[in-house]
Amino acid sequence: MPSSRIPPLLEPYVYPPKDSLYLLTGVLNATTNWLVLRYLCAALHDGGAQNSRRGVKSEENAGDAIPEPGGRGTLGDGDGEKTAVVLVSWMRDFDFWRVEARRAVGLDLPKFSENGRFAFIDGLSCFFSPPKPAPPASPSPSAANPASAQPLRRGPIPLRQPSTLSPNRAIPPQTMPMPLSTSQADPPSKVPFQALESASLHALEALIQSTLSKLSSQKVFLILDHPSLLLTLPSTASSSHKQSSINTPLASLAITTSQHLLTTILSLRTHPQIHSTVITTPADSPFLHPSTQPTPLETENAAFITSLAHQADWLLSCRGLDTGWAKDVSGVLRLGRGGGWDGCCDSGEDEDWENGMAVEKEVLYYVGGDGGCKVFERGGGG
Amino acid sequence: MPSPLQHRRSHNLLLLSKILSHPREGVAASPFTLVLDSLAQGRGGGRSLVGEIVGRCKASKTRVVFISFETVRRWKDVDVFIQAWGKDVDALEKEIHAAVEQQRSSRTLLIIDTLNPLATTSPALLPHFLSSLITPSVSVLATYHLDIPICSLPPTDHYIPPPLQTLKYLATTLLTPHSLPRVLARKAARERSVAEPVWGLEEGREGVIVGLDGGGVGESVGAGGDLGQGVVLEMEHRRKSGRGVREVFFVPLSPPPTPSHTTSTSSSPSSTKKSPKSREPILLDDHPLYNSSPPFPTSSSSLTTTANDPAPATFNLSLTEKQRRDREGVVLPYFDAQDEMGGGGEGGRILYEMGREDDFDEEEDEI
Repeated sequence: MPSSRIPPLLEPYVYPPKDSLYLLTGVLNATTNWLVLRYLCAALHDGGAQNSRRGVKSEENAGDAIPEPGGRGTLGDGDGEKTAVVLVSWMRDFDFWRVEARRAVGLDLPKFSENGRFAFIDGLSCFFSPPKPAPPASPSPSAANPASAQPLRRGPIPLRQPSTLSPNRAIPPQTMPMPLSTSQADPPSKVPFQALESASLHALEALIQSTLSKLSSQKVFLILDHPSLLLTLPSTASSSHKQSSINTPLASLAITTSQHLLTTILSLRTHPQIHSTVITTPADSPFLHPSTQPTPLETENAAFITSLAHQADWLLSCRGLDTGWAKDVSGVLRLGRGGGWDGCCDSGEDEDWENGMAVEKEVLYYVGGDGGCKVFERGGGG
Repeated sequence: MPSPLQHRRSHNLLLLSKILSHPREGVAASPFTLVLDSLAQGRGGGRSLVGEIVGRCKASKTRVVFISFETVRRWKDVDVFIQAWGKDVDALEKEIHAAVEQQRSSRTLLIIDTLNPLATTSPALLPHFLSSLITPSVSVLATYHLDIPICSLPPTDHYIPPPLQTLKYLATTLLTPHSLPRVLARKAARERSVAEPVWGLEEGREGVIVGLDGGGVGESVGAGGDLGQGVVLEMEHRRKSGRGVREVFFVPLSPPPTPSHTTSTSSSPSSTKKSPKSREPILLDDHPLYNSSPPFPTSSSSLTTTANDPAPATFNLSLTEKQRRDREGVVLPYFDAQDEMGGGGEGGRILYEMGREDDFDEEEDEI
């Protein structure tokens, strides 16, 4: 089975043009992780990207891991500046992404972060796992709102523990300074990533902005993995007051609403360093179709995902096979335009974009046990 | 003496072109136009319609102020671009007024790319906000996404009508865009008396958010000539007198750099050579693809197998419009008998015409 880094059929969709938003949605049995890895690969692994994006050649061997420096810039314009990536994940920790990126697309993420081209923000570990080495993790939610923060603490810990493949579990909850590790990649105690310490959007924005300032590139590709988790968390009252935008009575309840989150995402997207954005959200029916007597959380989730779909240029939706299960198909990938797609945007570098074959269609995909993936037309697999 | 259809055509088309182009002089045809869109409407969604209106404003030298609640990229033909997200309603109002005041004399179109954030956060302020913007020289064109649920109203707002209802009441024109392939597919389903196809969230399939128009349909519709690229527009216009005008149009969009179309050039190179002549809207009833008899590709994939490709036959299975009308007009025998009895249920009646050889016996039966 060929395990190219980026399947040829996917290529037109993994180089977002400037200021664009791509929304990846997945369901429980068809997650978006493999797609996120392809976007990571497209942004970071730039050797030969200019060739492969035109479909001239597609690299078939995922074996050689280290991308050669000095490649051209990707993501839609050729100004020669390398793209940096900020990955904020509310669903998986850094070990997961490190292992998967190495296995599936041959990227050495710690090495990239040493070069200032990659930064990871752990959005979940620090509010839920008990802060072992250092106290300052997650002080604010419990201080401000102990009643609501308390029950949340229990849930996800057992889920997250067994998922790590690496033995080094020493996640520093403190913010680590980025590049100064002397050793190469192996001791993950030196892994340069940062952890979000409070569920408030203000803290999120500040952390991403400080991360951006440390990156070496002015062209940053932002990946937000499952930010809708924030809708379920109580934001701290103190920091939501700082959000000047929100002066509705809701803010005093200190619940992150979809509007707050969307506003934060919009202001991140307009940050001058951010080139383009990819957001993943779950799209299982309970998230999208509120029940007849919806709870606020259902409505917020549905509003959040639908609003994002209206803003997005493209939607890449993974779902399981409609007909059930198959040995050689992992799921269906629907590539459709979102509501934000417009022909009249002021984007100068659309030429490459048009040369691609980005059309609305539906394809099947298969993610192998080795992390490699195949994308093929319906009926064209095998 | 023009026929009613011709009268309707010329009248409504004139009205639409006034609404779309916001001419520099004269009274605004529609001070507050509301575009209702949803993801299920497909490619001809609200945004392409707004893009078309901006293009027309540019042509008629109307100033365009774009108030962005969800748009990051600045549009090309827009004169002033205001980032509205995260701003207070009052501050936003001041900023808009400042932008409008810059050139008082010229006619201005305010475009609001979505009203949903305002409708969510401050539904009570919405009518005041909108009416404060509209002046004789300023019209508003706002989009509302129908499929975003309104969440968590503040307790004080439980007694005000839902924002969508308010907006619909305030609007002088409601425009609902649809994509042509989907309208055609729905019509085809209706004609065959099967359930109309749905798209996107309405499909009810787990994980599906946007619908697809089906492979090749866009191309074949595009290849249908200059009328291919466009949007079907349902209009409801309220006149000053209160009389409403409803019409469904087909509005050809000025050819944008559509990626799908540049790629389809390989298969149908003729479709890209569009002549600009047919940029004017037409009634949907006049659209050749809508008007024609069924055998065009329907878009939903479930339909294509059954309807689009019947088993190869040497005769035509479908009906033309005239044939169907004629068929509906046929009076079946003894139909009048059922009518006379006043709706059935009261037994029957034997209709029998005596022939010459029948022997009528008065004693035996009385009819």
